[in-house]
Amino acid sequence: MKKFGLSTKDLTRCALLGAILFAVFYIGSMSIYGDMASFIMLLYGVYLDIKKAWLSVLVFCLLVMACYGGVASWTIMYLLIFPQYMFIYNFVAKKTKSEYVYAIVGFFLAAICGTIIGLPYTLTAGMHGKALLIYLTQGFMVDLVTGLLTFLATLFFAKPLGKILRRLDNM
Amino acid sequence: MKKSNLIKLIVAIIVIIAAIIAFFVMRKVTTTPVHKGEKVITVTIDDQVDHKVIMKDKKFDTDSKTLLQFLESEKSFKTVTTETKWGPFIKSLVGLETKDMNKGPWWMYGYDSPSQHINDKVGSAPVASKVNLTNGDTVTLVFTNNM
Repeated sequence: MKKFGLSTKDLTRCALLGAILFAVFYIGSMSIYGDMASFIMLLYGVYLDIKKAWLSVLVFCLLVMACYGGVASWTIMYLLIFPQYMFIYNFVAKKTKSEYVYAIVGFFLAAICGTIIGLPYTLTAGMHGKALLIYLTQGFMVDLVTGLLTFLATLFFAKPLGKILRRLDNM
Repeated sequence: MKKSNLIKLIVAIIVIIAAIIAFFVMRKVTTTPVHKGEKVITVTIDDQVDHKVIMKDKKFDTDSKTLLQFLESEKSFKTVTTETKWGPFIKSLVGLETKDMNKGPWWMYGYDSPSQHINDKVGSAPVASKVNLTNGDTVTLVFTNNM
């Protein structure tokens, strides 16, 4: 039986991939600068079918919501942003096979995600001028490191890990 | 090492260096205090010897309690004081120094504090260590031969 063009096996696979992503996120959350979840999302987006990638990341976002903040502004933003990142990665993957391009896109998306996730707070806190600049810069400092890790991991590990991911996907 | 891996390594090193530079630039931005102090003091520095206004109504943020602390805390003033029996005397400011304590020229100052209802004209303000600064105060420092 297939739902949305995905078999039960595919759905189980998506749940497993979502759980793996959550595990990576959980390990990364122990260190402020050690987040590799963005890289794993990039792998899913580039090397998996868009439906599977989207669903896997959706599962991840729901797990974050269930295990962390519940229905909070940032968990809602996760739901709104990260599954949509899969469309961008998928689009880029269709256009090029260059890991350099993947790395640049990964860097950019990882570096801006904190700013986007913080938008509800930024807009409602009434900050302006230098206070806003400092708030955004402080957030961007963390995201810069995440972006850098994503860039480096993509450059060196995306292709070999992508091959493994595709092989697992075709099993 | 394969050529493609070597290129990747070079790119990675360049990106890491760029990120480190960006990180430190951003850290500098975030560690610059938005407000250095709670009080805003307006300062005018007038060199009447050379007929030159060195500073006109420049605003400073400060936490200093007294005028002396404020003058000593602001590096740009290059304040040098000397102890006298009346208290600390401003010997040098912004590089202009009293060479002869008997002949001058000397540094004198006026002090206007609306919140304390004080308006001391130049030369009539108390010793700088006894001038309590409050928000909105104005200080006029004059280098002059007229005691």
